[in-house]
Amino acid sequence: MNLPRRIILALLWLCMLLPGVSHAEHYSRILALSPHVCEMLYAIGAASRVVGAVSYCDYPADARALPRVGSYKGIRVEAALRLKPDLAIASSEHVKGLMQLKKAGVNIVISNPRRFEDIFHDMLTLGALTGHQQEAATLVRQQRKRLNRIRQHASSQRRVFYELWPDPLLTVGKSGFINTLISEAGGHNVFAHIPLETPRVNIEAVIKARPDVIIIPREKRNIQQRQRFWNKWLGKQHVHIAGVDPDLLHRPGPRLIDGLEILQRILNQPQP
Amino acid sequence: MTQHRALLVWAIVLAVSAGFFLLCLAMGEQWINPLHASGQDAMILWELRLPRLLTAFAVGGLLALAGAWFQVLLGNPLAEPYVLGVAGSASAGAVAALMWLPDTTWVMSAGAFVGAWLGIVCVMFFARSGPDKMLLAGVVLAAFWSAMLGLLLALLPEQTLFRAFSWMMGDVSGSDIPVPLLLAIWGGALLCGCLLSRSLDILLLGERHAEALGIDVQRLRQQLLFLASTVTALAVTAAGTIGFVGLVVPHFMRLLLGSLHHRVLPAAAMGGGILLMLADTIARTMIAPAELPVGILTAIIGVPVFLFLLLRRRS
Amino acid sequence: MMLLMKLRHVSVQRGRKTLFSGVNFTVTAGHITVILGGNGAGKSSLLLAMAGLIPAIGDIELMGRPLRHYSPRERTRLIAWQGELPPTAFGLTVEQRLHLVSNCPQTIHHVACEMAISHLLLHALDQLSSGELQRVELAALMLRDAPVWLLDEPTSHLDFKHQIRLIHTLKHYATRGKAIVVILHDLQQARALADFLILIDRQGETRYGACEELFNRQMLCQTFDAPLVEQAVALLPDYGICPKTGET
Repeated sequence: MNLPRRIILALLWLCMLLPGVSHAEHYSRILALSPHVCEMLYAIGAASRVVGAVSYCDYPADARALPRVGSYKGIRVEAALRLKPDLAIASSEHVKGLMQLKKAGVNIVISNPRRFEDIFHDMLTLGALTGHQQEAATLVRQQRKRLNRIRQHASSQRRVFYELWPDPLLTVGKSGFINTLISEAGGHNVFAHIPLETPRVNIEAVIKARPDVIIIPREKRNIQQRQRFWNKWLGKQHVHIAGVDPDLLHRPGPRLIDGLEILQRILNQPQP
Repeated sequence: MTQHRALLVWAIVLAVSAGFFLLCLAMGEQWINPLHASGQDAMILWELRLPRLLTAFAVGGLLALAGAWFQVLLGNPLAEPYVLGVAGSASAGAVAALMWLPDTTWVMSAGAFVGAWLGIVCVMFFARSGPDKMLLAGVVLAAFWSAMLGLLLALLPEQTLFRAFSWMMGDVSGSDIPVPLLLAIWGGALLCGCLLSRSLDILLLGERHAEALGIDVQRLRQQLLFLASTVTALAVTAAGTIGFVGLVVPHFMRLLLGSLHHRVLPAAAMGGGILLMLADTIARTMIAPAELPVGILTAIIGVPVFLFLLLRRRS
Repeated sequence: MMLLMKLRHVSVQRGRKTLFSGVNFTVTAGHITVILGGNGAGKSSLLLAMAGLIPAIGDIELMGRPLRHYSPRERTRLIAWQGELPPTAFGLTVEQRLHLVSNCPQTIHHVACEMAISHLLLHALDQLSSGELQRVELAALMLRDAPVWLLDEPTSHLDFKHQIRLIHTLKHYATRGKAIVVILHDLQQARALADFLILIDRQGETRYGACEELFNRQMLCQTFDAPLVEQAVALLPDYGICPKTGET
């Protein structure tokens, strides 16, 4: 067996070990089955390779034109297969219909980042899968720089209550990544000790926890009304209430770093 | 002699209720003595705990009263307020309102009320055909409404699901019916019940015998259905679907006090109120600072008690 | 003799079927009328119609006024009806059940003695045997101060002792002026009680008349569509003297 043939065989073997990653031909018909995946693909310049998305894949604006093949509840398999995808990227293996896609021969990649490192890793992976390694690497380098800058900032140790939902009153506990975000931004989540992702809490518990800052995602609620409510209970001079765009904080994608910067800016505002 | 005993029993019941009430008021994120509270403690006590506690009391009492009425109406001591599908139709109404109207507690309550009445009107068609057919119609309608609810939930956007689920498991903290009104409804319902109590006693003998004793059974049944349904609809509107209070409390009071309604109804109205008050206090303190839905707690308490009563009945 | 009820051409419909042809009779104070007939002939329906509990075809008059003009409450004061056993699921006690028809403790005590249920007063209805329950129902009927009693098989579920006692009790109340209409299945009891008979046969033909006129083998064979024999040596319970014939 001559050397070139050996090299070719070794390469083939490598290809089998790392399916997709070192695939000579990159995936070009991708289903983005989670909003953060969709955002990542657009951010690394792989927009042209996305053929379908699910509801809530609404950023950037171009993504809204993508055909929808399902929602957070599951994938409509037939609609998905009609788009002739070669790769589907979902946030969990348990998304309904995903296994049927797999059986139909579509490659499956799972992306469910819990930390910034995971996000960077997934963006690089997506870059490799789509042939946009360069763009992905550049993006990750920039984001890492921004993250370091945030981390170097003095930590404010402000006490934060994150009002995920007003009625029932839901917040974030130990296991959610919003909790991680709050500590990355230098704050301290007052319910960080609850071992649940989204615990329902009592108003009294919030009053007793005496947060300095209340963060309210700007979705489906009247911020002024919530502000009046919390000012009444916690005192206008003691608590700062800020609304944030939930898409920046609830999606572990390329815009999470923007959300983190906003969060830190809020936490570092001088005490009212 | 019996007069004195009845007075004594009532004095004890009221004292125990007052004790529980103060205890529930004092319990929370931190212990606050209701008799010596000032500043923010007083605010927490009177603006957060008291309305919630009174709502729980009124809703629990209403559910227990409705349960007692439905049991007589259907001639079945194991009936409960949701047996005719009112809970299902109210939930479907509330979720439908969430889906198509702006997302506020008020809209949801209105949806629940309309839904409850839709369910009641469906059942009313069967009011004339006797308890058995009515019960059967109710069971079938309940299945229909739960299918409708499933359909609506499947179509509901993700963010609204929290609220829908929290409502469906019962929540006395976010009622949009003012507390004094709820208490007035509680009093009015109890009064109506007491006025009807002798007719209700006679109806325990079955329709024929009741009619032979001069009761206009058709009219009584319609009044009773109307009353019980209105009360159920109001309770569901105020606090979502809370199970087992309406089943266990009247049953328990019958075991304790006999079957005559001039005793059972006031006892159920008080007992149901106290039970839900306790359940809600446990719900908000057990895993504090997190909170449990009160409907889960009433089921946890209610199911074993009910099964125990069922076993005892047979022997 | 006071005329309490008058029925003219009365019949009852069950579904689309008319149960019996128009029956004519009167109910007078102090007399016992016994209704005899096979299963499904319409005996109970006739009684329910007389109690105003189901609609009837024809005229039923109560004390000179059409029955349907009475309010339920007025009707209840004049007519007492005893029928199937009531449901017992709710655990009423015997005393509570009797209190539903009378508020007078003395009367309750008296009637309870008469029906031998004094020792059961504090028991729940669902703890009683059906015979005891039947006695409670009869007591509830007797507590009512109504001039007309309608009884649907009052001796069912009762043992011999209480059957015999009941027959005597009914006779006693009749002599004190009650008008009693009673459905029976036992011919000896019928003969012991009846001043008048109503026979309903399988074709829905009705006959009304004095007991001595209708109580014979031919009539009863025809009514029940069943063979009957006269036998002198049968052992019979002592229901007392027959009102008209004077024999035991």
